[in-house]
Amino acid sequence: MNDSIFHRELIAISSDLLGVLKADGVLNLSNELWMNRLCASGDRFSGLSAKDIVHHEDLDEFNRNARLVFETSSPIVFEGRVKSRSGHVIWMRWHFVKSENGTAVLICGKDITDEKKSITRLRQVEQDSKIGSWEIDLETNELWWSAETYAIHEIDPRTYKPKLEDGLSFYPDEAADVIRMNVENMMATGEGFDVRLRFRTAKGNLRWVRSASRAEMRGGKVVRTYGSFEDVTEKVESESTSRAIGERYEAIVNHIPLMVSLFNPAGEFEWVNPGWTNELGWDVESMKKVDMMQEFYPDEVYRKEVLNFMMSGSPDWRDFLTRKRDGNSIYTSWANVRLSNGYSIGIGRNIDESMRLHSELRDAYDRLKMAISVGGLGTWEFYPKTGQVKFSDEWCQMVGLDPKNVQHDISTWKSIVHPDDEEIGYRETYRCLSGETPTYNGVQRLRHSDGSWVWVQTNGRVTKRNENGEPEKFLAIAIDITHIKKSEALVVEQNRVLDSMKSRLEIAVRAGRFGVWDWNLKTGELVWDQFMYEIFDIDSLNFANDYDAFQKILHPEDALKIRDQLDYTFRNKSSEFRSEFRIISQNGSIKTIAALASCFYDEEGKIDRLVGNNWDVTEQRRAETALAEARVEAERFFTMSLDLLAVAGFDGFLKRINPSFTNVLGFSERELLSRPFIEFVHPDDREATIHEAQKLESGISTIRFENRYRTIDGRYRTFSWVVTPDLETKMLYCAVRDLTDQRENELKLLQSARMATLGEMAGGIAHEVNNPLAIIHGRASQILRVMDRGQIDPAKLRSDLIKIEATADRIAKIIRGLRTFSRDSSNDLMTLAKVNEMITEVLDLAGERFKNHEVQLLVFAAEDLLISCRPQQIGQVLLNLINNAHDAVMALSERWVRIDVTRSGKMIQISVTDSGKGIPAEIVSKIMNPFFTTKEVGQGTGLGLSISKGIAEDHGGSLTYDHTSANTRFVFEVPMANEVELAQQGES
Amino acid sequence: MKSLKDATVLVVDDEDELREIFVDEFRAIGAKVFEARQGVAAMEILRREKIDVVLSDVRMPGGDGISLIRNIDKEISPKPVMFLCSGFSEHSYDEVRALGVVDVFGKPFEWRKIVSAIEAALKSGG
Repeated sequence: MNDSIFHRELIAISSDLLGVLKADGVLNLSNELWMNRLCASGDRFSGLSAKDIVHHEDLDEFNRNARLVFETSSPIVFEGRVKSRSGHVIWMRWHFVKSENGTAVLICGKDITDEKKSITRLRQVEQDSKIGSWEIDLETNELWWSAETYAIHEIDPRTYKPKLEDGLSFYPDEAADVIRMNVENMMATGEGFDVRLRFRTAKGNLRWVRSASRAEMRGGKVVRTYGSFEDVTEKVESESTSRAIGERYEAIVNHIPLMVSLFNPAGEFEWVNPGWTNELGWDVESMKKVDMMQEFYPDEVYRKEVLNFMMSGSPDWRDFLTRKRDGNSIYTSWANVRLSNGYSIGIGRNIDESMRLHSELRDAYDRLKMAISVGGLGTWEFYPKTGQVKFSDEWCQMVGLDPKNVQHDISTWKSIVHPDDEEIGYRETYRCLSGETPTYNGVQRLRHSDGSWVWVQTNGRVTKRNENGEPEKFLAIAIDITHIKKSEALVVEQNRVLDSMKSRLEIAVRAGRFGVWDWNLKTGELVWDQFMYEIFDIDSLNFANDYDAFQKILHPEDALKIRDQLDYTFRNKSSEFRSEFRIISQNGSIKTIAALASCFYDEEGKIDRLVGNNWDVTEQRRAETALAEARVEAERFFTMSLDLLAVAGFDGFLKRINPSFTNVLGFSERELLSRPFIEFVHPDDREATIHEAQKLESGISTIRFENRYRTIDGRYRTFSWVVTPDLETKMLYCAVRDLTDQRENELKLLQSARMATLGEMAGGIAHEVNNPLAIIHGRASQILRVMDRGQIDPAKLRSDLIKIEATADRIAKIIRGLRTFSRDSSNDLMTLAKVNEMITEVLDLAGERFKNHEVQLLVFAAEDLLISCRPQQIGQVLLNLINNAHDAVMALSERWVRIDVTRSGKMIQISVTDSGKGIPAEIVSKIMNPFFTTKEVGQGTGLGLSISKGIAEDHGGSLTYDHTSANTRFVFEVPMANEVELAQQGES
Repeated sequence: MKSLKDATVLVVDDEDELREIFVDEFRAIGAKVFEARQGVAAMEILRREKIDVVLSDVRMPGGDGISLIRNIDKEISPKPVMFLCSGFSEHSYDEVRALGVVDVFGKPFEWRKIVSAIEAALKSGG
């Protein structure tokens, strides 16, 4: 039981300094640790004295205390410093005890350096944190303040020593009472206090201070009180600010229609806002009693997903279907905010309404899909960024492609589009993509897999653009219009109607105008949705929800039909029921309703249930009826028109003609359609016709183009064409007027115009003829009377007879001049004629008028020139020019007309100038036009100059108005006879 | 009251040959004859001489027959018996009768008819 053998080891491991101080002052250190810390070298750890290790300032105290222990034999505890080997000061709490044998003092030193440092640091902290401290000496009732406490009081520690009663004087009355009460309580019970009070510094500044106090009890008595003293003005002020902010947030959180919750790191809910309780039915108290997550999300997998989201602290919104306290589920959207203390705030929105709307949108979309499948519409979507083109199944079916194997890019379209339609399709799509056009509308022929051409009208637009305005998605609706294209003449009208039908359909779909109904034939119940009531224009309260009720609204004429159709459908176990019927709405108007339904049969094959759609097609049917009527009307116009109407292709064939065509030409329709139309055109007109057709192909309409068309008996009719090309369909729409009769009439008119001119001159001519006749007659009578009296003077008789002969010649000349107008000379042979002779002949005829109106007539003809011509036609031209000149100067005071014949190279120029001062500029361009005249009604036909011009040109010459002449001057030019003609003339 | 052989006659015609025939014939009957080629010259004679009978062509340059008749109607009193002679006239018979013309002879004409018409007109108090 002797443990002394362990003592040495215990000493060695002790953290305290252990040593023995002898009465002679020799100090021996017992443990190696301290020897090493304090002594300069390891070999000297015995035989030391106190001064070897103790700080010189503390040495006296150290030695005094050692002596005291020797003398009194009572142990002493005190603090003092030693020097470390490396020169540091080490604070020691010394414990001196006298050994049992009384020869030595046993020394135990505890290192309290760290403890000391803490106190120093505490002082420093006090200073930095502005927290002062105080202590009351209960023996003396003296008050001790730390430096900081002085500072808070704004008082100088060098001039002021605080007293206990003074301490209270710094507080306003109420605060002083609080302090007094607390201090009294503390003295009685030992309970400390911690109060925050108003405080007035020595300088009179009003501050907030925090005063906390503790009491040390010993034997049920307070032995010591001390405390801290802190200026908390800033804190109080910032706290009130934070409180205001807090209140603000609280108000928001309590009133916003959002769900807000606070949950701890374990995922337990600690707090929820009223909005939460409102939406979900749970308050925080009831939530604490159950596993909330299980309540909200009964499905385990789903719950886990939600929990993961909550723990992730993701600030992004995510949607969950959350079960409310009443068991119903709503769509919610959640975001999380992780707080610094590991708590999280969950913010939730009720998105049930919008989700429901979204699903309604989906329903509307489904309805649209249904409408598309009913209406024979296809769609495709083009993604310019990827080049992808998504063709809908309906579109594929339209052109006979298998939707499963179709390649969803442009190559599919390219492979089936008609080559003539391809480029314009690209171009127009591009124009729409680039934003140049808001929508794309095009008609293309697409090759059906069965080899036929399908006419497809496509309407599309860009439905999505990125922020740079570049197209990302292009949506197009395509509709098969082949049946429309078949009746070419009505294409435009039908497209228009179809467009409006389509937009009406779209509007109907957009507005959700598809009623849905469900008819249970077992129970007889017929359930309608809201749209059904709208379509049928009936209040839901007035509808008994059975077939009889439906039948009452039905148009009586259709009731039986519907019944029959239903019976037929059920008998054949058809899966689909389609019908169209009329109803009589409340206001008495009749509406046409379309129906499409799916039929369900039970195991025995008996009809069980019908679920379907109704939609209003009244407008559509009305439009179709109107269209049909318009078609019949157009067809009637087409058939009955006296004008020739035709549709021709750019390929040079007539495609469709009306009966007038066959009536006029005598060919059968088949003959006219089976050969290129150019074959029917007069060979001389073909070049001009082909040229005109080329203009049409470039989009220029033809207005009154004339050519001659062959009839079955080989003659030609003169046609005037008005043609409009349709570049899209490459068709020409032609209205043709048969001008043959008109042309003949014009010729007749020309003849009668000549006769009118003749008539105009008839007076003059009659006078001209009757005068010589009267002379002849008078002379002859005289001769007879002389003879009767038997007084014949042969010389006188001879002179009279010579006069009679000359006068008869005069008549003959006039008659010769009249021949000019006696017949159509346009087919006469060309002969050589002398210009001067022709002029003379004309003057014989016209001279009388000039004489009567005292118009001077001057002729300047240098030489007698020969021309190859139809002399009568040249005579007509000259007579026309001379008569016009005569008429023009009649009313003038200066009246003359001159004719000049000159040679200019190989041409002969005959100019007719009159005393007039030229033709007004505004009419000069029109004077050569047929039927243009300045003469009074009945005075002229207006054909003169135009015919004269034609004659001049027929002769290789010209007839022009001389703009440069001061007087009115027309120049008629004809080629001189050439040598060959002169030679021929000589032979004959 | 008067007969042609005692009367003074004015012949107006631009056709010299024809006028010559008229002048010869009237002189052969015994009448006093003046002649003019157109209306203006005729009016000068009418203002100067006492003329019983005027026989005028219608169409003449420098004053036609109708203008001449109108001027006589305006200026000359007492008025001579007036006759027109025309190959082709735009004026109707009624129109010229309204101007006081007794008769219009067409060309060619019957000389005897002219003589008897003038005689009749003179006799009825012209």
